[in-house]
Amino acid sequence: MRVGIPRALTYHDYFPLWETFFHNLGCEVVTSPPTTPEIANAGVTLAGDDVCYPVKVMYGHVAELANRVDVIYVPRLFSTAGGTCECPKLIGLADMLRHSIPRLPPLISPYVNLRRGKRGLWRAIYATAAPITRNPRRIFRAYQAGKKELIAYQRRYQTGLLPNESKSPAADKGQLAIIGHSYNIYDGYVNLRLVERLLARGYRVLTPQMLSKRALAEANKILRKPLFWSAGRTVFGAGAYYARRPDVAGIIHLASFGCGLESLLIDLVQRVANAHGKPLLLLTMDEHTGAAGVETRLEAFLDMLAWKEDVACV
Amino acid sequence: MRLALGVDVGSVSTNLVAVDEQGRVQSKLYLRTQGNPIRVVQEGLKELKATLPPDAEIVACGTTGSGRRLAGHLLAADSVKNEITAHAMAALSVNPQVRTVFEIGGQDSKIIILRDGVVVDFAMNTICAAGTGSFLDRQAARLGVHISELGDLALSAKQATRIAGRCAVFAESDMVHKQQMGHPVAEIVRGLCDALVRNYLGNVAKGKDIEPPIIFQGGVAANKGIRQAFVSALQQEIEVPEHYDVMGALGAALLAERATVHRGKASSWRGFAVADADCQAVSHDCNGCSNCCEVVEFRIANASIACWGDRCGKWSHGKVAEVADS
Repeated sequence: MRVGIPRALTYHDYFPLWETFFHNLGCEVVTSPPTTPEIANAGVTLAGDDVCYPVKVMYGHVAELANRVDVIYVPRLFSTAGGTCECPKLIGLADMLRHSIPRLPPLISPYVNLRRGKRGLWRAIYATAAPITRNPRRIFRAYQAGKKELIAYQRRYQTGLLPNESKSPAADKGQLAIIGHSYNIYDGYVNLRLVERLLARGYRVLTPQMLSKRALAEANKILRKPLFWSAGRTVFGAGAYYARRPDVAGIIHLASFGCGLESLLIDLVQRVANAHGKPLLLLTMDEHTGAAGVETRLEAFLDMLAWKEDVACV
Repeated sequence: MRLALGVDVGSVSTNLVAVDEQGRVQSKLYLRTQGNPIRVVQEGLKELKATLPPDAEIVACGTTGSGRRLAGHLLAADSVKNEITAHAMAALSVNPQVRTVFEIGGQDSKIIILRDGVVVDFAMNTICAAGTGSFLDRQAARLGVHISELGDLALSAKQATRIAGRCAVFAESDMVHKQQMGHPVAEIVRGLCDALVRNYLGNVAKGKDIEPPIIFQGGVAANKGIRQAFVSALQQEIEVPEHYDVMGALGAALLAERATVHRGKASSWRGFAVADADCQAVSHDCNGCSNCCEVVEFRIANASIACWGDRCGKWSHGKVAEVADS
């Protein structure tokens, strides 16, 4: 069986688990390529107007896979950690896709609810494997192998490496933190090559994925009441953590236009950055492909950082 | 006379400024870009040259604005800088103590926060053009008022009609509605100024520490109604500099001076002759890979000067990076 995995949204958080799991069940895994203009345009055409840009891009990736796989894996992520919830667009994603993209192969969309603890997890795993096998031992082994890969992937991040880096680059200009949803940070098409732009200028880039769960949880404690959204905890936690770090020159908050979570996070992150006197740049992304706006803001932000260090350098 | 030339190529206007060694503006031009940045810069050069004394010598040349890169190649500029840095530099030259800069231009608006002569925070408008000059321009035309009279008209009104300022489309329909209800034009215009300022303070300046001295610059600073609306909203003095409409170009000239004169370097600029040269920008989609970059090639007298827009460097060969970094 050929299983298609769209390279969008939560792909960037979980793909080693998914790929290894299906592979171990004897499936051929086909991943859509990194976002191209065609994929993005197809997504914008297929998706409704009221969803955010990353969800529209997801539509494009699913459509790209539609003709060349037997099933497409789009989990229904309700909750990925106890006490939290995922964005409603992620919860309803599989239904939205089924009803908007014609001639779609069947979707594997298990209900993932970790608020129900281990039981919720195992249900999701069995539902994922159901179209392929019902053999509990095979499923368990495939999951164990996938989990091992996922942990290795997360550990790699925590050594401070970006996905395509083998060793950390020389960062003569200093370190900048990019905070935001992983699908914005790791999709160079969506963020108009923000990471590349920073690396090319000699900065080292830090992301929320480089922080351990413990560090994020600790950073979140400054809120009187924990955030409801798991992605919100990651974004805010990373913002609060990097704001305190003296070796981080500044924070870039990458947000999607029209994101419900961000409407709250933008303000929270700004407050925590102000409290620590940490320079903060907010970049709100949408469908524009012209990089002039991003380039201008980025240049001005980097000028500002350099200017602070040395008045004569500008 | 040794002068520094600053060129600000914005979406609506293109400004040229010649500054002497004391930082005084010797000559300035405010032109409409009208979608043709190359031609308007060339024509501006001719016009500017005519106003300069015969012994004038350009010793530094800088560009800024959304068309800074294009203009930078056209003129072989010594410095190509973003608008924030340029506007901050210009505001500092007017008042070294400045702590807040409001800049409202044709298609974007910004706030710059400075402390001890250094930029510490800034923001630009995100998506909507509701709070900018183009919107005022359009509404003035619709009401049959010349844009230069809009400010006096607003001040003549005893009270303001409340207009929705969040979105240009909503504001327009609100204004039409208020007109049909019989509100006088002057009160509507004053309401429009209040709405624009409310939108600016609520969006662009949201969460920023607005402290005096405050400088208000950019084309919209000409509008007395907007100035008054800022003063009453903030209950603070607002300073509008003499050359408020060309502050970006002034900043570009000062930055160019720092890049050349202050470092003992000679200027790389092409000279006024470029005003008569045959300059063209052509673009094509590169089909080398799936990125399908839109590559722009800039030519002077059919010789390729620079390419940009590609991700891999196949076309730009690093030429662009040199100019952008300098």
